Amino acid sequence: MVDSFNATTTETRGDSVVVRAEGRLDAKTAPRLLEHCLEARPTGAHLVLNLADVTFLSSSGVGMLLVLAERTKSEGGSLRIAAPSAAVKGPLELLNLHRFLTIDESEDQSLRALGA
Amino acid sequence: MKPRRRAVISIRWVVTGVAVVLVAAAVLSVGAVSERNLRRTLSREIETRLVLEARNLALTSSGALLSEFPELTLVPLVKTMQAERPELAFVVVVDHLGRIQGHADPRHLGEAYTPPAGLVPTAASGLKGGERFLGSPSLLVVEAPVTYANGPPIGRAVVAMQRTYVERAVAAGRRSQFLFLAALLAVAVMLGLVLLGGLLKPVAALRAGLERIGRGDLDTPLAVNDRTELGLLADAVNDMTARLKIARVESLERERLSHELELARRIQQRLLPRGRRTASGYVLVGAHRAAAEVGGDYYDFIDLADGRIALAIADVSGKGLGGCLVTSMLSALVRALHTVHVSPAALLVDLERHLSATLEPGEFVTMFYGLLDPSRGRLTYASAGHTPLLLWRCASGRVEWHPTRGIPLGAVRGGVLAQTLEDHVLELEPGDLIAQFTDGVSEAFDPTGKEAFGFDRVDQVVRDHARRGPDELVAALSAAVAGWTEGEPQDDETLLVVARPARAASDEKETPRPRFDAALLLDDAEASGPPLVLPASLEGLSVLGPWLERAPHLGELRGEERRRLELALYEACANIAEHGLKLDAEQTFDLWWVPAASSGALDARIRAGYFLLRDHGFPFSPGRWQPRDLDDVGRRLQGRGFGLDLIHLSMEEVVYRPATPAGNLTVLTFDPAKVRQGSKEDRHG
Repeated sequence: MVDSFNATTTETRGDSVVVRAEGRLDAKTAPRLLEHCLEARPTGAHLVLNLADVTFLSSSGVGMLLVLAERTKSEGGSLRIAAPSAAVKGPLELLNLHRFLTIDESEDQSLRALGA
Repeated sequence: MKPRRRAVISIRWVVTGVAVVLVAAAVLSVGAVSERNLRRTLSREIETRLVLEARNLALTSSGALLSEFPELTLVPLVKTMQAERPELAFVVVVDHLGRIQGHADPRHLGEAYTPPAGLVPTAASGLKGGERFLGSPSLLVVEAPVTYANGPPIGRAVVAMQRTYVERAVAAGRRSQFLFLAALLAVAVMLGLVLLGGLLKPVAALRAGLERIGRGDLDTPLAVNDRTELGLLADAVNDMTARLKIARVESLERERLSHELELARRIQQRLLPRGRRTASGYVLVGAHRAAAEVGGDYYDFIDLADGRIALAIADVSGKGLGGCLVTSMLSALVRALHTVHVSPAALLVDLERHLSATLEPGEFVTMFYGLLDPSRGRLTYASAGHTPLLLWRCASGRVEWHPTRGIPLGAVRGGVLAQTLEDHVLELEPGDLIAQFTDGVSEAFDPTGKEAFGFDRVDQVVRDHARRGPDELVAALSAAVAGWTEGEPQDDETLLVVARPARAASDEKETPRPRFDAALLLDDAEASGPPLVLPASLEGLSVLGPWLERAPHLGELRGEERRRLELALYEACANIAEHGLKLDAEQTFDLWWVPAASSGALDARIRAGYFLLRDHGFPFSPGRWQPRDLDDVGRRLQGRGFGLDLIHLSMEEVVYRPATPAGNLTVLTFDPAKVRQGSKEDRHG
């Protein structure tokens, strides 16, 4: 079965990079998204991760988001999660982890917050 | 004890009685003597008076007798005398012719005087010439001659007295004497009683005090302040009480100590496994014979999650409570550390590190620790100064001894232990048997104290009995040592024998009693239909979603409940694939949804069913899951380990049954209502 996951960099505005992920974000695909994000973004840049079309978020995906947030922060940037689907919000709220991540209702809202 | 009641005779009355009898005897004897004296004195006095009366009468009568009518003078004289002296029987004056010239009754005048019959002369003192003293049983009579101018007698004066008068006088004297003596006696008795009462007062205090001591009160001393011997007695009793008190305190202390030792012994006994155990066909037999003193022997078998068995045996050098304490610690530490260390040598080093603070200087522990892998017949072990491991080879019937270089725990501080310890590996062939024991066995001395049981005798007993199996061998070794010492063990004797089954087939299954009977659940699951066979790869798990869509009842779930169920199942499967099967794509594992045969609301139908996962990978049991603290950045940065949280937060119940004969089983139940409630709480919280 082919992986129903895809990550694309859709936009770069100022020092903010927008990455859009679709499909299942699980143990198999989470490392790919992490790799993509770290490559698509210059060191120190802000990252907006649009998870509107993520259909499944496993514990590995949750872990990946936390690692990504810490990494961007430690390099002087930040991570904003834009328009997360119910499949994303569910596990994050279940684990009570949403307070460690910055979550916006839409991609625009994220970009506005970053001043880009 | 019930006090014996008995009649009490008071000392006071005894002494008083004796005194009364003595005084009375004295009084009576004194009375008898004084009466005799009194009688004699009175008699003499009365005699003398009688003589004087008669003499007086004679003097008075002399003139009258010479007169013409002597009766004119003599009759009134005699009458007056008799009237004045009623005790006189009669008074008569007789002339020289023997005719009565003076008489109280004038009719007798002129008659011849006839003295009363039976008069005989009686000796009397103070009689003058011519005077006679006569006596009869009833009368005393005195005759005095009447003379004139010292001439010849011209008559006689006769005075008679009743003898009863003397008796009456004596009786009167006796009565007054008796009254006096009786008064004396009464005074003596009173004085005696009062005096004795004072003297015996401390006896009552002594008695009350002794009764109090008898009841167990040793704290109140006898308050007897007395200068007699009773005071000394009270002092002696107080002294005794003080010593009794000390003795009682000591005895209580001894009792408490022996109780504590008994408690320690029981704790030690409870730490030891109960006798015999089987696992995968292996038979493990332990035997422990405790010495009179609480010893420091310890042994244990522990089942590991991966099917291996940890074997531990140790001997703490200290005895008594201290030794027991170390033994208890050892037991707890081994149970805690066996999951941490894969290497027996590392476990022993870690044990020493934990124990070093507890061990007294000079106190040490010899210990053997081994991990037995029943499936391969492999024993990995390390020994810290413990007696060599004995291995009996079934095929050859030979005994091998396996000594090590390890030094005891705590013997040399400063990390030397680690340099002397190493892991040794022994391969057990079918039927082979290993034995470990403490030096209570090899160093059990015969009654003369000269010869120890020794390794050679152990060797011999093993060669003689090993072929009959571990139970027989342990019994034979125990009996041989008991026979050697001929009595109570001098030191704890501990034996541990493990035998590999002669045939590889294991016919003795052992599973802990499950809350969910996993075997029965598996039977039901297999009966319910074929499982979803999942490959041990992460990509393969994406089939879970479509599978849920088709599963009875589950397909009806929507939204958050559906997503949550898929998430939890995904995490459970990912754990097995990743950790149990190491993502070995060749391997597969099974997932069943076993719906309950019930109708009704969707929630109830789903709640009544269960998911069953079966795999044959590395057994995995996370123990009791607890929510974790995620405020720790380090933990978040690890970015992993949320799987278990997601499973437990989403599923109603999760039960792990690792290493069952059918493989590792995981049972999960799901309650959609709980998800709805949880997400509501999340929103509001």
